[in-house]
Amino acid sequence: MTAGHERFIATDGVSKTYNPRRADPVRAVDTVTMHVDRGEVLVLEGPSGSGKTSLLSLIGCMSRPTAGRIVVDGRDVAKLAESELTMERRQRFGFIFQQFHLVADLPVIENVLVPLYPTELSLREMRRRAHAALGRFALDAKASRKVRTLSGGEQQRVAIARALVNDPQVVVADEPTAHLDRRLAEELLAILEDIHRDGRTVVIATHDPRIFDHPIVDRVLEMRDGRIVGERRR
Amino acid sequence: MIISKHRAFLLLTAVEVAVVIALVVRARGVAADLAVTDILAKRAVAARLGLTDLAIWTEARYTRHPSQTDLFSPFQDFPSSLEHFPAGSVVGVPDLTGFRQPAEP
Amino acid sequence: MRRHLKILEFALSALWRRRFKNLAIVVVYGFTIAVLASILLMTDAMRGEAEQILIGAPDLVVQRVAAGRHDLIPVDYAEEIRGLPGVGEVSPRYWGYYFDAFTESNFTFVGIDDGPPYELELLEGRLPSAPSECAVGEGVARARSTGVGHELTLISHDGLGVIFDVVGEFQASSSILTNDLVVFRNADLVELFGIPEGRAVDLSVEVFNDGEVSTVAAKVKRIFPDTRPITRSEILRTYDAVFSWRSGMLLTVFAAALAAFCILAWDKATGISAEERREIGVLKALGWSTRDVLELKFWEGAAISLTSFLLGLIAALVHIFLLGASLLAPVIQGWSVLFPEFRFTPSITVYQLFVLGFLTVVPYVASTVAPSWKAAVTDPEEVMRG
Repeated sequence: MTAGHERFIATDGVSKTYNPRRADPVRAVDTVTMHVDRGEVLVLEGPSGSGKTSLLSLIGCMSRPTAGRIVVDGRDVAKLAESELTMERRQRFGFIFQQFHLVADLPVIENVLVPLYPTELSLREMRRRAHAALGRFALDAKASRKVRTLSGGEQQRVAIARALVNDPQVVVADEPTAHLDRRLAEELLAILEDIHRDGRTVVIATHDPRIFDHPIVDRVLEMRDGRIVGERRR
Repeated sequence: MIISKHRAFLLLTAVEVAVVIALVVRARGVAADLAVTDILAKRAVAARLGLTDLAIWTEARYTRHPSQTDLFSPFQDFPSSLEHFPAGSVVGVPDLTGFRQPAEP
Repeated sequence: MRRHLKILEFALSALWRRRFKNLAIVVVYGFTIAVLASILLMTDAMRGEAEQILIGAPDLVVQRVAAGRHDLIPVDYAEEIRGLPGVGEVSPRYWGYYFDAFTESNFTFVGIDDGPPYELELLEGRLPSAPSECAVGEGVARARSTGVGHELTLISHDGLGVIFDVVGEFQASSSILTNDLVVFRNADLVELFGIPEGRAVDLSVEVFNDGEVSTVAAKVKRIFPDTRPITRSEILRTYDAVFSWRSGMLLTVFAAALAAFCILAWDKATGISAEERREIGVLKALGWSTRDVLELKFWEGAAISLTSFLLGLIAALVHIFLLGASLLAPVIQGWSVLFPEFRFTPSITVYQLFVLGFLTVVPYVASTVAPSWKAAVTDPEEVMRG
């Protein structure tokens, strides 16, 4: 598995400050310059509060930096209007959240459909894709079950199916193994490996050693106090 | 595949709108029919008997003939008392400011 | 277009999640609208009917006021009024109230002058044309179990029972005008009530030109300062006011309904729950724009309020025009013992329906969309951090 050397996402002196106008501003990301190559598996490693989730949100076009530039596929997204940022997110990124963030009262299929609603796809096509995504994780039979009734591992696979349903170029995962036991964590890593094999770029924020020691990881960036303090290449 | 929810909703809404339109059209048809027969007949009754008011509230002079009552009847006990009859909540207080004083001297 | 429909689809899925709660909202909301629409439709129908019917009322009625009370008027006044330019017939009117001890209800007695026509379309039989004859309204006929060909015993002013032959009965469809009436010849009524010689209850004045009625009224008032002229337009205006939106009951009920709305809206507007904020954040993270999220909220509000509005409106239309306002009638009825059965002449304007729709649907949709605004415009990451 060779990591490509084409720059896909690059940040240039990016900072993110919360509560900038208050007396106690929090500088979660502090002038970070880094990049993500196309097709690689990159891990942002650091203890909680080190700014890795904030950096992940910036890379994933979920928030805009206070200072600096972020270039995604040759386009500076730091200054984009909200609607265009949304388009970037919709077309390029799939997200796997720490707590899955599924809608517990909705059926599995509806959860997977969520990213497709604001597109121009027909409902029929949407359902076809959702079933395909669920089928990949052997969940098709449970498509009409409420999420609440599924096991933790199944919920995790629903969340991943949802992240993949819009066929993203980049899959962004925030602490994906935080609440998982060893078996489920291994299952997740197997799935990530599978996703990577599709040719997708994967960016993971974690402090779980099970992940950054895993053979699929190409590169690990160590973060402390909003800065990158080290880089390990495998 | 089951019918999608938005189709069901739009269909339901269309049916509701159709029912409203049907009821309104029907009501207007009835009104048009009544206008030429019923209303004219009632007007003839009012004209022949010299009636000035509708026979809806019969409990007191000023509710039976709101247009004919003197200004004091609704306030017999005390000018600002709340009157006794529920119909008073439907019959408005007479317009004291524009009381039927002819404008010209 | 397709995108909008799909967002509607998702909104419906979201509503379906809490279908019992939302169904309850539709029921309560629809009921409120049904009540409001019923009142609106009914008062409008009645106002329209009053306007149409009372065009038949006298052009001008002249009352005498003594010591602040309506008093009997000397018939002599008629001569002088008849002399005014533009005035036609001036006839004394005899009418009054009668408490019927048998049925504990109030009747209205009306006297008519002798002269045709004795037959009216809405009268079974004829009007009284000979001594000791009377015609009765449907309510009186029902209360006293009488009718054409039967008798009606009444107590005169001096405490004697007087028997009248019922020669006419007004049809139920004229009840709104005739329900509590007993119609006599003037002479019989004068005798029954003991009205003194040379006095009448009031005078009915015919004015040839509608435009001169108020001028004539002013002249009458100047010649006889103790009189109170009431023009037909004032009668019509009275009924306009009686049934207008400003009328007390409407206002009260409307205020109560409005208060209920406000509580509902306030409940929604005091901030969406953390759960809802998180959901909005997730939607945004998954590629929904601010516009999409607000559109979702719009559809959620619109689906509920539009359905409630239409169902409520249907219920009101059926209630008022097919069932004769059977539920609302007792509220209108008050303490009347004789109460006419209503048959409403529908008067519906598209404007009315729009006003009603606007007053009910828009605030609800606004109170659904507005609280989500703040969550929808912030960056998804911040929403998720809470």
